[in-house]
Order: sequence, then structure tokens, then C-alpha cells
Amino acid sequence: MGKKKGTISDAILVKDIKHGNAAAMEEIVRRYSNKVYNLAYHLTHDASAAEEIMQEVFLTVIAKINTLTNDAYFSTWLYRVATNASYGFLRKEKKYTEQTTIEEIDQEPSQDYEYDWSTLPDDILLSEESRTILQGSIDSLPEAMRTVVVMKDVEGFSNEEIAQSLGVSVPAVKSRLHRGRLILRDVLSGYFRKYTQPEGEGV
Amino acid sequence: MKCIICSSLFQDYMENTLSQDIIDEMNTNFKVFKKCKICFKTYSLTIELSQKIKQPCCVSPEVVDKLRQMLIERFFTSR
Repeated sequence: MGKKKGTISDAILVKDIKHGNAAAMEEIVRRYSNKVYNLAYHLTHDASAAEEIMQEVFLTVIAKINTLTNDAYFSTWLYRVATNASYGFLRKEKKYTEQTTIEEIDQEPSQDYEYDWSTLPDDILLSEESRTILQGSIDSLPEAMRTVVVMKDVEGFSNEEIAQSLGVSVPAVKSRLHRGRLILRDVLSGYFRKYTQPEGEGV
Repeated sequence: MKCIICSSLFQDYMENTLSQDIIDEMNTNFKVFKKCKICFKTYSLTIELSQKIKQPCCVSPEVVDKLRQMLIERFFTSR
């Protein structure tokens, strides 16, 4: 994440932590605890797991910060640790098993282009049911795609941050994101279709 | 421009990272091909809805405080 004017950069804080400065560690916790917690929470949907993951992530910081070669990449390294810890939790709890690999997903979206559901009223678009459908669809995306969609569309990270965090290129992030969004769009198109047809039924 | 190419550029179009001639070409495409325009509208709305499902969550200050204390202890014992 970017550095605000007048604040100490992450790179300096990391350097200070490496030299045993506890205040620098406190500042890093203050700066990143919410971000790590939110990312873990949106990947696991479990508040207590997110707390545990956050703790585990910062313990990893203490244990492995000396292995970080480029101090300026601290935040993306931290998000990578958080993402790995979140999927580790989900696998351990058997809450997540990848059903489809990213390669197996057809790149071609469905043919459902003619139905314009963007004109539906907000109470339908934002209904509890549509949220549940969308959340379920995000959760069932392949891990590599799901992580990118959650980081970008739910958490608001930049493509560059995601690429660095996941150790992939920006074009790879964009490709996964685009394919993931098309899949979600298709699911929503299928779901919202019930509100327009057949004639005389639905809304 | 073919609709499939247009569709692959949705993201850059939304993030305003395309050159003006490509943007113009896409706008023309949207005018000519209704399906492509619908695909774009529903694609953008999918992103908007994904942003809106984010439940407000925030770790409590008490938890952060406990974490900070624990980390400081661990920080010194690990040295």
C-alpha cells in the first residue's frame, strides 16, 4: 500500500524491526492488522479464524522478517503470507477443496448476452438471495481466480499489489480477474433471468 | 473490432488505461452491437455487486492490543 506523506515508509520500519526495534513492530501491527484481518475474513468467512490467521501472520513476520530481501515489498509479502495462511486454514478445516482448476474453466462465457439485467431495481440486485448467490459463486471459483477476485473486487487492492503478493505477472492477474468476473456475470445472468421471463410471471 | 476483443478490454476500459482511439473503437462497438453493450453493462454491475457484498468487518482494538502485547513479548524472546 502506498506511503502517506510524513509517515515512515514500510521499508524503514522493516529495517528497524530487523535491528530489534519493537516500536517499529508495533507500528507495523497498527498499520496492517485490519488489512490482514479483512483479507483473511473475506477468504474464510470466519471471524475467529481471521483473528487466528492475523496472529499467525504477524508471528511469521517476527520469525521470517530477516529472510525478506527487498524491504520495500513488505506489504505484498505480508498479504501473501495471509493468503497462504487463509487457504491453509480452509484446507485444514476441509472447508475448501478445489473442484476445478483454472485451466479447466472454459474461457468462453455463456451465450447469455441478450438479457440486460442491469436495469433491474436495486431491491432485486442487492437482495439477500442475490448476495448469497454471488458469494457462493466467488467461493466456488478456483483458488487462483478466487484470490484475485477477492483481493481486487472485494478488498480493493491494485493489480500490481495482487501480482506482487501472489508472485505472478500483472497480465496473469488481469486474465484471472477477467475470467473470474465473466463466470460471476454468467451466474448472475442465470439467476436474474427469472425476473423477466416468461411473460406475465415474475417481476 | 470484434466483440471478443472488445470484451477482453473491458477491464482496461473501466480503469481508463486505454488510448483514445481504442476507447473510440469500443464505444462504436457498443453502439453497433447491442449484445456487447449488454455484456459490458452486466460485467461492470457484477463488479459493483461484488464490492457491495463486502461485509463491514474490523478487528476489535482489544484484539489488536492483545496481539501487540503478545508479539512484543515474542519479539524479545526470539532475539
